[in-house]
Amino acid sequence: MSLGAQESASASIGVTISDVTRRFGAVAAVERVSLSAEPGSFVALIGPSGCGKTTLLRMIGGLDRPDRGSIDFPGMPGAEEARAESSFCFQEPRLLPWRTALENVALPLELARQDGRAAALAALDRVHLTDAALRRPHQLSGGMRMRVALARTLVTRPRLVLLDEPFSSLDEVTRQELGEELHALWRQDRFTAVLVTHSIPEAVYLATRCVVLSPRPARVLHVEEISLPRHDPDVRTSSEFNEHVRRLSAVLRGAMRGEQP
Amino acid sequence: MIGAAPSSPHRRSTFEGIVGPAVVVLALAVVWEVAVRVGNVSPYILPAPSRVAEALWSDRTSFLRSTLVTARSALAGFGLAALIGIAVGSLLSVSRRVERSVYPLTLLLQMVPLVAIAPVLVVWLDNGAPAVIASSAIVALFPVIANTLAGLRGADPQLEELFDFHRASAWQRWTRLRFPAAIPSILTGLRIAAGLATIGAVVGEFVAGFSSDATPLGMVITASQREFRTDRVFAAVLLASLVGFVLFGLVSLLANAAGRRMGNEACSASR
Repeated sequence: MSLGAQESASASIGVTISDVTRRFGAVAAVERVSLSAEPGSFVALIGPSGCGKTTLLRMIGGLDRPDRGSIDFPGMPGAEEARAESSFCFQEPRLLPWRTALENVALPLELARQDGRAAALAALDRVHLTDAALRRPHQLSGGMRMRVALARTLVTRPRLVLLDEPFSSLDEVTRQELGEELHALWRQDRFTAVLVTHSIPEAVYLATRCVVLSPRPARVLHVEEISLPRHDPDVRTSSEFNEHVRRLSAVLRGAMRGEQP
Repeated sequence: MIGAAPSSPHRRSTFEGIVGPAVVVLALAVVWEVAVRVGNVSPYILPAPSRVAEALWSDRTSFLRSTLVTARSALAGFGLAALIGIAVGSLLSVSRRVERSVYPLTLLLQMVPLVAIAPVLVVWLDNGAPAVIASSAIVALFPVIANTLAGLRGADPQLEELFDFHRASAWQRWTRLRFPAAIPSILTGLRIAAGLATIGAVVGEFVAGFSSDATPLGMVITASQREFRTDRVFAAVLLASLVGFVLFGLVSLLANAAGRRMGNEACSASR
């Protein structure tokens, strides 16, 4: 973990998942998962698609409930308080088509009965979309829409951010660009981030900890701490980076063939 | 049919939109005129277009006043149906249980033959505008309720989830998500209602029409029929259709404006 994370660790909210199981009828989506995200850390959940990693994220965000086990937010009075200070970035932008970018970004503050205009403008500025503030979603490209969604996610200054494959529908260039922006925003704000992804390079680039989950039902197969220099896009070509990618890929491939690591 | 929504593409030119139909209507009138003259059809059975036009023109002030009376009733009936329909549809959307209890009743509104209940309206409201407006509103009400309900229920579940996450209150959810999302569907309901409101008004006038300063079109139709003036019947029917068209056009203008405001074409596209 880098120095910056420890400095402002008190401002962000950690998550502790203990022995969580979730079933849909006879199908188990998540089975006995325990893991934690320390305040200020960036945790990536990697797994094959449909493995239950999104279900896990939704349970952290309170959009779903575990059948067994518990999800705690250390240092917070309760889950409700923790979730009120957290934010969820969905796989799709999920913008209201009749609202401008600015009005979409202001929505979370508006729902919290706060005046959001100034904060929304600032958030749009942080994702370099000031010029598009008054455009509606249908006038924006896919990447721009996702940026609006990212601005909306951060407009409340959340202390915990849950991201569900937010860049998966974008082309490779936009995806890397947005990844870098997200990383810069995380370095500035030092929220705790939990990112669901099926891209190992993306996980290694962004995260301080990578967790590999098995195919459905999701179980924790492997946890890897990443400590790479944090503000260098060229890190992607370093041997250390590739070593992480190689190791995580091997675990994931093994899991998909049904081997235990 | 007046009630059907047009499947017109959004940016079609006015030229195409007006000239095409005008040519078809004109051609039809010519064929009709020729057929009546060549076949020597009695004007009582089928008056030629020229004869209908003549009837219309020779009594133009009276026809104009009749049209305005009917248009007023249709507009009032439409407005009433829109207000009540959106309100009832919204109430029904609150809970499934309420919907299941009340919806069959609203369906009954649709099934009940208007001609059969019009006399009851006369008993309750006496002859005249109130009974005619009620008749118009009753016929137009159901599509507004049904489309409002469908629209409010049809908001994107992913957006609903976004509102879940932010713990939106029921009121916030209604004003910021469900109602705006329902607007295209509500406008479709209103478009159908525009045609039906006119039909309801004319049928209401058959039974409950009352002439003080001007005779409403429904009464012109029944009176002219009794006098074997089929040309006047046709003229009145033409004007009644015109009322429906204008009402329909007003709703469509509203829909297009809403479509621009909403930033998509969902409002002006037919469902």
